[in-house]
Amino acid sequence: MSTHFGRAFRHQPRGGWLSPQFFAWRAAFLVAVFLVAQLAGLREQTAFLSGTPGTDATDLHTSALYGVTYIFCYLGFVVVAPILLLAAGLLILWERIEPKTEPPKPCNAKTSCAVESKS
Amino acid sequence: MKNRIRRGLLALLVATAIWIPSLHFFFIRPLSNFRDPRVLSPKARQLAARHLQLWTDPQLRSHELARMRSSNAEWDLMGRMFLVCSLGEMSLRNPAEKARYLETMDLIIAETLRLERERGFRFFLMPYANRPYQVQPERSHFLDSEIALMLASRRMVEEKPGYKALLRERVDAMIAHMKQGPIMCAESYPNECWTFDHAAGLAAIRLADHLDGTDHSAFIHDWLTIAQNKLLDNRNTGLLVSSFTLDGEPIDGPEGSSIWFTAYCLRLVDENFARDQYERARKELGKSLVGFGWSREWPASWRGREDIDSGPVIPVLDISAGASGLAFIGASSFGDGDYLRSLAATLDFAAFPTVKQGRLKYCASNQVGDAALLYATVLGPLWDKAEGKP
Repeated sequence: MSTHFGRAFRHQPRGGWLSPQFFAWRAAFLVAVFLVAQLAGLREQTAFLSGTPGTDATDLHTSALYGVTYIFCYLGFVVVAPILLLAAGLLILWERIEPKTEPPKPCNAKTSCAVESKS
Repeated sequence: MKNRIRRGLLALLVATAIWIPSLHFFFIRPLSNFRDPRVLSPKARQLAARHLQLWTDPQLRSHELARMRSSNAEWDLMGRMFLVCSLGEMSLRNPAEKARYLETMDLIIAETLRLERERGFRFFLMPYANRPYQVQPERSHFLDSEIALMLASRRMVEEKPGYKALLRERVDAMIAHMKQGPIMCAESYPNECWTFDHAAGLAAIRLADHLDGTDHSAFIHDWLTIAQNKLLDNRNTGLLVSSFTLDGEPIDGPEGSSIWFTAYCLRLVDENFARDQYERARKELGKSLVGFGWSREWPASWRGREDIDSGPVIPVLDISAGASGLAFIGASSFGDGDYLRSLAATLDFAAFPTVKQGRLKYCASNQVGDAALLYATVLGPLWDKAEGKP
């Protein structure tokens, strides 16, 4: 299990770490998580902030648990996702103005270092 | 890759610097959306629609009150008081609907008096009231002041047979009770007095004087003198303390969940002192950041313990939902438009409004919180009428 997670973290996401695609996918994930929380009715549980249980079926502590979960999902949607999308947009703009110049990868048995010769 | 990471982090930083200060623009509205000086604002209409529904649907009302009472029975009475006072203000703003509002006010008042009669005054108090009071016969100034304010507000709109005697009786009982205390204060709980309740009581006495031609100005003046000598946090903020013993020893220092409404009520009896208290509260408790406003529960110089009145306090920024809700009343009454707008932005951002069929409730609030917000949107005409203003 730990090997699987290690591999998942080492695996490069599409577009690369902190790329526009990286940000956009994470923003989409946060939006989806918020929609699930919204549809699950967790918004009502935020009544714990006023010291009141959200519904008849929950006590104050359970309301607080669901309510805090909703608040994190909401902040992800309203604060974090727009920042990620803005960052993605800024990166795209930046790359258009100033294309990435990555240093050449070192030659080894797996990579081809063939140089085209112009004749 | 390092270059890409650096760019990515920089993009994140710039995006954050753009978004965080801009976020409030999506929630800030013209002040007239929350509070209009002449008519009912859109928020007032929507909040009122929900509360009127609560009082015409017994099942829904019972459900809402039960949820609140499971935390704090006081909120049941306070919710009634804020709603009755709101409906009184709305009757003067919107005379076309006066009959409907009066009917609901009478329903609330009648039921409240019935419950007090049948279940005893402790029905609207927290369990720690179940101890002997020091002053006899036992009474709670919390109940007396809020019921008196409801009766007075109702009578300010239109006289009702029987209410004159009820208000006179309540005012006389409050004054007699206060005179029995060493510093002219009466218990809300055993050996526990609250400035919130005394301010509400004084406002009710002042309204009763306007209605009945009586004059308790000397009594009110004496109380204010004692309060300014014994009940101010003189070492630090100059604010009135929230609670104190019958002898005047502070129990809780200045608190947002008390001072905003206290200052508002005191406007009716001593405008200058009330405004001084509001300005001090504004300085010590009223905060805003990137366009969002809130109230602290405690000033920086004193930190109390979280209790049912403060609710959970969000650390670092010390945001209290209870204090912030009541700050609306202070800001509305003292014409603090900038602070009111920033509070309203926070309300829309962080109180999770839900509108169904034109009825608004804030999910992070409860019935008493929403009733206090409604009151903040409509207050003004009743106090103006008592002061003889057009």
